[in-house]
Amino acid sequence: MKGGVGKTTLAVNLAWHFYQNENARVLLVDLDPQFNATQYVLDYKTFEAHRKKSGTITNLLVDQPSMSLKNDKAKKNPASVFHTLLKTGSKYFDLLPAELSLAWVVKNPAQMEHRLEKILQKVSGKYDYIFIDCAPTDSVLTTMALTASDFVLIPMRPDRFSILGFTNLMETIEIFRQNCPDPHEVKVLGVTFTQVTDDSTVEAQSMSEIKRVALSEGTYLFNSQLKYSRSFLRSVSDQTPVFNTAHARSKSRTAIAKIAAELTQQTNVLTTSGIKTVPLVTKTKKGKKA
Amino acid sequence: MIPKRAHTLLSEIHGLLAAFEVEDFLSAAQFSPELKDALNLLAQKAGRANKPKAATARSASPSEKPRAVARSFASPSKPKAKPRRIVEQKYSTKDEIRALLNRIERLDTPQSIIRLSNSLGLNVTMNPKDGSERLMRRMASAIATLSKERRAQVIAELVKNTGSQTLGWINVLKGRG
Repeated sequence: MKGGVGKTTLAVNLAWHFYQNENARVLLVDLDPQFNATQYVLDYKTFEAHRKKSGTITNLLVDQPSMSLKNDKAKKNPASVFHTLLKTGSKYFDLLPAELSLAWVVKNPAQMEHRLEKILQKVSGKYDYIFIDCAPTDSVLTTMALTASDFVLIPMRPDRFSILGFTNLMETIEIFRQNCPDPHEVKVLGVTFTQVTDDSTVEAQSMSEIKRVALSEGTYLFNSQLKYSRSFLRSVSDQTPVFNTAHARSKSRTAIAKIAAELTQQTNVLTTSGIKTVPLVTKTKKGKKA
Repeated sequence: MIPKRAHTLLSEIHGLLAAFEVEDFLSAAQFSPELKDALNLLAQKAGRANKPKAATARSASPSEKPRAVARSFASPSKPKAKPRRIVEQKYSTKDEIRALLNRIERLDTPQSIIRLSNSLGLNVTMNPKDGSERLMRRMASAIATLSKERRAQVIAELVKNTGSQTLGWINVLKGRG
């Protein structure tokens, strides 16, 4: 519920981390019409070739004859729209790319809520982790993501607007839980701070305020956080995760692994304790191991 | 407090000392009578900067040079980038090399792929029904199987040819992809 907090950066880096360093089978779903996650990991030539040949998430979600997949086989097997970014042995890193036309879904939201969930259900056995990179504003895309997810991770910049964005998000989740016809248990993994500079009292005040608000909502606060670093800008420019970026600061390289470890731990805690918490922004879904 | 311009100048000189070898300075000195003395002096400094830290620190005499310079030579900057090693790490698998090939401008027809392969001394053959995709994969495989050193050379060449992703994406967004 807030732009520029690092949702895409975090989603891409975490997904890549689990593939590269945790031997996992990972799917990254770009659910933002701005499709920055797609642009992060794909070069434009590959994207164009893939879009023409296999389509994007829009073609999977939309029934309109002009936009839906022409090939019936592809409709039955959504994985045909996925693009394998990397593959080593039995592990792979797939992307479900998006494009600008995904905005059509926002303008025509009727009957859309469960579409992504149904698509991911068909492929969940193939993946250990599915990361969904969400759009920053509340729309049917948010509802689709919530419906399809088990867990929600909230990246948050320590500033005043983010506190308000967090409150908006919690409201959205509450409304989702009340209105969802098929009550889906989606759990909030927690809040992780991003773009932390450690150099202003305003930031420190915002952080303590966010902590207070999060605790009052019963939301976990990650100990690990992403410090502001130009290494992330370089990483986006190089189209590679920060831990593979040449000359990246070591703090930035290790930060993703720390957040990933805490994410796994928190996922286990929530799974085993059965604690029901509220949801969301960049979200993760843990598939069943085959 | 060193004045800003002096600081910038010293940084530049340290950069040169880190980037070039003694021989480079001596060689350059032969081609510029005006800078000959300065370049010979830089050659000496480069020689000292390359010595182990402790020895250099001992040899640095405060009377010989300003304090800031002495401090800087006492802890010579590490040789800057090691592009070859980084490039190797980054493009070590077929997929990574394939991704790099995709970023090269005007590498979209089978002929252009064969041309580039030939110019790099790679043995990539084209069969009648081979399309760009297949040839690109073949080229990536050929690069991946090269010796470490040779692969680093080829990849360094390829990196030079990569185009601007941003401009490419702008064209995609404008429907000109």
